[in-house]
Amino acid sequence: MLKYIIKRLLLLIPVILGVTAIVFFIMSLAPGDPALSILGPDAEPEAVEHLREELGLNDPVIVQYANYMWDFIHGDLGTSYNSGRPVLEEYLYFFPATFKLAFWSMFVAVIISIPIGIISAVKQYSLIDNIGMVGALAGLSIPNFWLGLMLIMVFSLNLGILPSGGATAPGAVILPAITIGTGLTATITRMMRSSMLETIRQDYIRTARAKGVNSKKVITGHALRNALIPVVTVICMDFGYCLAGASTTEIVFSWPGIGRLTVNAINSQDRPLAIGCLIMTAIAICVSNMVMDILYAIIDPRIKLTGGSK
Amino acid sequence: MKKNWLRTLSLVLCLALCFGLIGCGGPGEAEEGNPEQIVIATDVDLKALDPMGNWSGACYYIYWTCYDRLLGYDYETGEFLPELATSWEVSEDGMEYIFHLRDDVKWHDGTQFTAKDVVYTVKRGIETQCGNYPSVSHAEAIDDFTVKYIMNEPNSLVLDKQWIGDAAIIQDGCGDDVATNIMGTGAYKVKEWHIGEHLIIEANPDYWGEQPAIKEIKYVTMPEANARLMAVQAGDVHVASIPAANIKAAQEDENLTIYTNQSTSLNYLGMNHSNEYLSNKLVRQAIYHAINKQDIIDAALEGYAVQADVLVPPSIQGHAKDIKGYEYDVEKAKALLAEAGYADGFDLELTYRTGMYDVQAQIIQAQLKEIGINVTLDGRESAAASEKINAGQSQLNLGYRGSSNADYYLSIMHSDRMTDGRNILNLSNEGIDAALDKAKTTIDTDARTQEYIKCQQIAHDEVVVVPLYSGTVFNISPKNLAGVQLLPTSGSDHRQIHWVE
Amino acid sequence: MSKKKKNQAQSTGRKNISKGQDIRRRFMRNRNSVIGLVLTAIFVFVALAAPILVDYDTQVIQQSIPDRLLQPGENPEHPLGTDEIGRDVMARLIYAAKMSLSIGAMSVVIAIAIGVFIGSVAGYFGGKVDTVLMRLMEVLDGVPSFLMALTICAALGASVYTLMIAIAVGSIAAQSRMVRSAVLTVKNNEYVEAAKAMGATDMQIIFYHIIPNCVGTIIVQFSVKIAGGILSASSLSFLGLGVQPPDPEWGAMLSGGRTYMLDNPTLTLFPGLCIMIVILALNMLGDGLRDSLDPRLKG
Repeated sequence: MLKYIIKRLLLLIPVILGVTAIVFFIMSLAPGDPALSILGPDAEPEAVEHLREELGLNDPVIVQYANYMWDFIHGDLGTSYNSGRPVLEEYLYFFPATFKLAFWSMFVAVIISIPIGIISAVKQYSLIDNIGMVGALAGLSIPNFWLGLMLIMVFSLNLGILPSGGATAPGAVILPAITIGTGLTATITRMMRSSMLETIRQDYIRTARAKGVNSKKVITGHALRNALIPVVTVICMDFGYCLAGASTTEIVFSWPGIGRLTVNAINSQDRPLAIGCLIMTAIAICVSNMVMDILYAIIDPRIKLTGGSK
Repeated sequence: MKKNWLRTLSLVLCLALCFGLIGCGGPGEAEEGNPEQIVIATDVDLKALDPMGNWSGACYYIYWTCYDRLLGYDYETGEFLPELATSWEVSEDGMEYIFHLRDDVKWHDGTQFTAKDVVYTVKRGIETQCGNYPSVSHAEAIDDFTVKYIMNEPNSLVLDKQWIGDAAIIQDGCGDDVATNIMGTGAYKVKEWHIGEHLIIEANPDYWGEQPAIKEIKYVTMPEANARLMAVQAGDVHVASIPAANIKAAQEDENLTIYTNQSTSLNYLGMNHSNEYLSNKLVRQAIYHAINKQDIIDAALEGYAVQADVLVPPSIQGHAKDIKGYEYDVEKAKALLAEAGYADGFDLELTYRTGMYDVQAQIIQAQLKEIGINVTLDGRESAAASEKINAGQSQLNLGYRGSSNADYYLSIMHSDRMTDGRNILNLSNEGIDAALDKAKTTIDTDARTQEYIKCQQIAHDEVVVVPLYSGTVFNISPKNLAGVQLLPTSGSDHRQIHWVE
Repeated sequence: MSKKKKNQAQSTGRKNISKGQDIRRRFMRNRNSVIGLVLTAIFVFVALAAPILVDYDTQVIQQSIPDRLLQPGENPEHPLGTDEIGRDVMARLIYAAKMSLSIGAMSVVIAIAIGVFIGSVAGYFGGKVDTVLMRLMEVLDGVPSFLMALTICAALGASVYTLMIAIAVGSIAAQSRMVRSAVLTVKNNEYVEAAKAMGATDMQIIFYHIIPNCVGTIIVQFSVKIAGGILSASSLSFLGLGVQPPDPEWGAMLSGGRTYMLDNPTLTLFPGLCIMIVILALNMLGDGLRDSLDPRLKG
């Protein structure tokens, strides 16, 4: 197991190198002077030039990249142009908010998808099944930023019962979590449904039924447990992507998380912060994928981590 | 085996739930009476708060509350007031300024404020070219509480720069740390600062001046205007700025006070005088006649702005009140264009800052289309737009100037700009240069005003730019909170805020 | 029917139909697929006919300050109201369909073209080429596609073309992988062996044998990925990095209408509805195609 984890973590290295190189290169093509961005657009040009020198912006791109990677190896992700704080510190400061939002979004998604998925499978082709599937698709199709705005309009502006922004007011997490959660229901519902269907058709289920075990007990007892296995992995995968920060949702709700931080960094050409965030995001996704694979292997003894099945 | 994992999973889920719930905590229970801490929402993050580098609007909240300046200013009479300087003298030839300083002022870290700090402030101010020490060579400390400015040449603007928000006195030797470490002598000092989220300042118990009524102010970032309005209505935020679009909703709420101020921000349509079309005066005149300023004001600012006829706004000393702008006349514009030989029109590009001039740019594009000029919109993020415009590479551009003295507004037309990296207009006009240079060295206010008026007249005759409007700034607060000072110059002073019963 | 076929039919109990007909039949039976197809067709028609349905200069970008912020139904000339500078909402929605669908389609075409090339080369040649290409794809995948598109647009400046490229880049990795696995399943088939024996070059084999057999997968991908492309385009335009004014785009219209949400909610409601319906239709269509092309994949 340990060997597997180490191997997966080692595979992260080329990914990080590659991501950094690509993003660095792309951002170097951008117009706009980061020094101007920091000092404000009315700054005196001498002050701007002074800052450019200090930040090394006049060096050729390759040199800047090399300097960046050198620092990176030593654990220094640079300093944000915008805030002057170390990039890693910034990222870790805003990460808990995204984590909390990701958690609650998954919660919303799960409590909607799992029951619907199960019922759809059990009562296949029924009206509930059809509505459930179309509903799931609808959830997938609604743009997050639009749903967020609509929810704000109804619950904040018109009814005044929920806060419309920020993370400090009580209940602030509700609307953003619903926004993101509904988008995730589609994949989870469909996976739950298909997994359930597959399990129900298994022989041992028919055997149990033939033996006279109560139908409901069969479903919740035997079928459900096994059907949940692939669903759990989908949930983990979606959670991993949530950790990248649902950018547009965070922006609409002014949620102080990684998504908003990354978008602002990219927009304002805050190179160290943008690259740092993208790298951390890549790592977060890789790690959560790895956790998912390991979880899958633990849960389902048929799967071996090194591939192949019993 | 399978039963176990289900149990473990449920346990993990429960733990995670608890963790999530704990993180869910909100503010404490509502307290009786008015809160000790007020919350002010800003539309942009407060960051890089270097008074000599960052002049974005929200930064001034901190410059006013946490720092002091040598002088204060009476907005009604236009007189300078003592602040860190108790008195001051100017030499006959205008080459020396002497300031006598207070001896009872402490920095937030407890050390004594002395002339050394002013000397350092001036030194750094000149190094960073912040513009607050025009023609100043350096400052000298005569003794611990007397400081002298030595000039390179006389300049009438010196005193006028010593009271503005960013002429903050910084601590000796602080260096560039000043951007992230707020160390001032002001009425408030920093309690807690999480960049990107909030900044909490608390009243400075050792302040030399009057203690502010509010003990603690928390600045939070809320970029969404609707959210700010709602937060004030809900009582989560106590002061916020709102754009014109939300004014109607604010007016309908009886529990809100609306503060307005004519912004001294003068927005204009700039033209690059080296462009083959724009170098022709007839073309510039045609463009001016084709612009309907009222439409722009109505659409972009819900009508809450004042049309500008010249580059200096009415509230600033030096405003030429007798000059009227060219009237909106599409037919005349077309005729002028034909006279210039461009009856078939041509193409131009309009560079502007997105998020600020989106609506205005689209309207101008449509208005110029009517006379045959095809405008492509080049909207860019703030720094990128500034870079292109300042390099003299834009054709048409949208921008603004905002300050306390006429020179700042008019200086964009000086030929010095062509070489100092702020080449917005690519303009070299002898008359304008002469007027501005003369004004800089004229001490007498009336004579100076005459020079500024001369400058504005030439600018009008030559159609250097199209002055557009001065907007209105709105702040809202609940009815029982008063004292939000919207200053005629940018930013607002929060030191006077207090609860009224 | 000939006598032989009739006998066959009687013995097996069902008609003898071609594969194409079979696919079509399965498709038509699925109600959702049909709805998806119809809705998509409507949008495609509107998008293609937009220049005829509405006049760009007089309707789509025509401003009228006195007529700004009209509610739907207030003025018969503007059935769906006007925006903050008096432009007709309906005309802009229609024209925006053209922008969104063309951006979505083009970005997918680019992504698929590149993805097919990379995937088939990787799958066919295997070995080092495969490993290198797949590692490269893994790196591309390391950045979530939306953030990658955002970085590109922020760096290269927002325009319709940058948008297409930026969105395409985000999908290349997934496309390549999909094509590669399709290629792998086909690679060792007999007719490929036969073609090799007959002396066909590698390129010829890839183009004439391998790729045509992945068409099914590609078609399904097409529909779903266009939906993703439209969503990305509107998200980026919402952030101000997409289609530039005065051209309308649903996401940009949403963003512009945000300020006026209190009094003119329809400015945000309508563009959002359009996005949602188009994506829903494309997803339904994609589902239906997948189910009818390979019913084994269905749950």
